[in-house]
Amino acid sequence: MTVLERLIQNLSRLPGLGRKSATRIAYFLLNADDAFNKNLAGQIEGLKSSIRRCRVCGNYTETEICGICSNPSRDHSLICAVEQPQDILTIEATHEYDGIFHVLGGVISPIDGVRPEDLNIQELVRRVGQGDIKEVILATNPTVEGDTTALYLAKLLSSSGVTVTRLATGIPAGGDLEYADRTTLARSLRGRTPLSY
Amino acid sequence: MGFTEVRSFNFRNLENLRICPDTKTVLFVGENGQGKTNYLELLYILCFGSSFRTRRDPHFIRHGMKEMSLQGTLETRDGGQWHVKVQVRQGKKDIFLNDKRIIDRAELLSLSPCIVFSHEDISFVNGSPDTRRTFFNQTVSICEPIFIDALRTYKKILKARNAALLESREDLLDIYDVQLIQAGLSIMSRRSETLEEFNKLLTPLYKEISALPEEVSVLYRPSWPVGSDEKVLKEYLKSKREVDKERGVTVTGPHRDRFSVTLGKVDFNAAASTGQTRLLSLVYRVVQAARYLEKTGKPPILLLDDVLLELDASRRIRFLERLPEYEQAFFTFLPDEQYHRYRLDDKKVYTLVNGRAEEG
Ligand SMILES: [Zn+2]
Repeated sequence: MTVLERLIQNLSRLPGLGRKSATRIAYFLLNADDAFNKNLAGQIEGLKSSIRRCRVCGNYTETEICGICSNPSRDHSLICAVEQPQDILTIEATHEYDGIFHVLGGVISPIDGVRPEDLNIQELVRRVGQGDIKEVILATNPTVEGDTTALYLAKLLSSSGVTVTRLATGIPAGGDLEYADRTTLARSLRGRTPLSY
Repeated sequence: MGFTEVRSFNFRNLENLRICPDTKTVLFVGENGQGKTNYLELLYILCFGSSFRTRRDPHFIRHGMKEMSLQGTLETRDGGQWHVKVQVRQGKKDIFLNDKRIIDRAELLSLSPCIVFSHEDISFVNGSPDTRRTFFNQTVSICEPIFIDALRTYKKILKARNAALLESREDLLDIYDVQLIQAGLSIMSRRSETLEEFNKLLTPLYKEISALPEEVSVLYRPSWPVGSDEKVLKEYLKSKREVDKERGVTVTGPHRDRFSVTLGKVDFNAAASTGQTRLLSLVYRVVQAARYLEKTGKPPILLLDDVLLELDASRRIRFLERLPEYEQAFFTFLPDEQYHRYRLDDKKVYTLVNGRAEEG
């Protein structure tokens, strides 16, 4: 196998890239100038050594404590528990949330060998036990495993005195009822809220 | 209108096929072993994306070939025209609807489901609890595709709960109990409502077609105590937990629900003859079709595989008269059957010889 073929093979392992796109990228790199390639290679090489998990919430960060946890203007009495660091990005992009986060690192699924003790759950209980927290928002995905994890946390936190809420699920805004999948529609029917004006 | 064109390529032992049924009734006439059932299977696959005969898709492919495809043009009552294509290539099945690949074959259900009447249906009446559940699950699903999601969710929770049982994780079992009960209760309520409607149609129909006086009805016997709410069931599951742990599986729940048939005051399967059992299995299908029509306002497509043979002459006629309104019906017949005597209007006859279908 040639160097080029090996590169294409590795690139096509990246999420969302098929062999065709991987080939295009490989040829692009072949024709790109040396500085660009060196820079890119350096960035990939240094990724894991310069980025680590936040000591408090588990988010990706370049400092010991991430920008969200160390921001004094955020509401530190409100914790949103998410499955993965990527979920923080998604929620941050809404600019609607000014609390802090907690990354669980996955969902409970014994079939896949993931048990509560494999997740960042004890640390969440410890944070809540410190007394400054008023509400925990459970933002796991609306899947069977996401529900299991949310229920598990709700039970675990029930004696702590904090309010525990679950992210509402429903029809995407601007979405057409006709195109919402059946399960989403059924869920949003169950979780419907009163409307007043 | 139903199917106006059907094509097959490398499907089982059929020669590559192109037929334009475009009539309300279509008859496939041939000796046994001429692949009559394959024609109905082909239509079934186009309606549902899977077969009623095998779960393994590669089995569709003609021996020695690597790929196959089926295509059908379906005209619906509201003037819609749909092109369905099912192909198996490199061991992988893909379904296309108007040239767009669909991911969940449940999407086909909203088009035009077909109801197949076959010899094996007898096991819906006298077969294992599992087989009987399959029939009633299907009866709900064809009218309410969301029931398929409910079953899938329940199955997923059940699997996770069984894994937690093997590890004796009390903390997780508490959670899975809640999830299983919520998912289970919604399945039970759909089953019991469906059964009530089912019996309303079944009892009189069976009486009329069989010309026998006894009343037949199906009894839904849920595994969980009837009428329990979430709280009661939580205690119930807790009381069964030790047994569950011992067996390593969840021994109660909608996956263990039963359906029994009564004839008057006695158990149907203990009292009925084989002929009565066969007839009841046909009536099951008639009710399934009639209920679909009632619920959706759309007449289904019917596939009838040699089933008239099992009835005596007067029952055949009564059975045909009581078929609900259908979009299109496909029958298979043996050549010596007097099919031209049945009142089947607007029909096309295909004679099957050596895996080929010839009109006339
Ligand atoms: Zn942080």
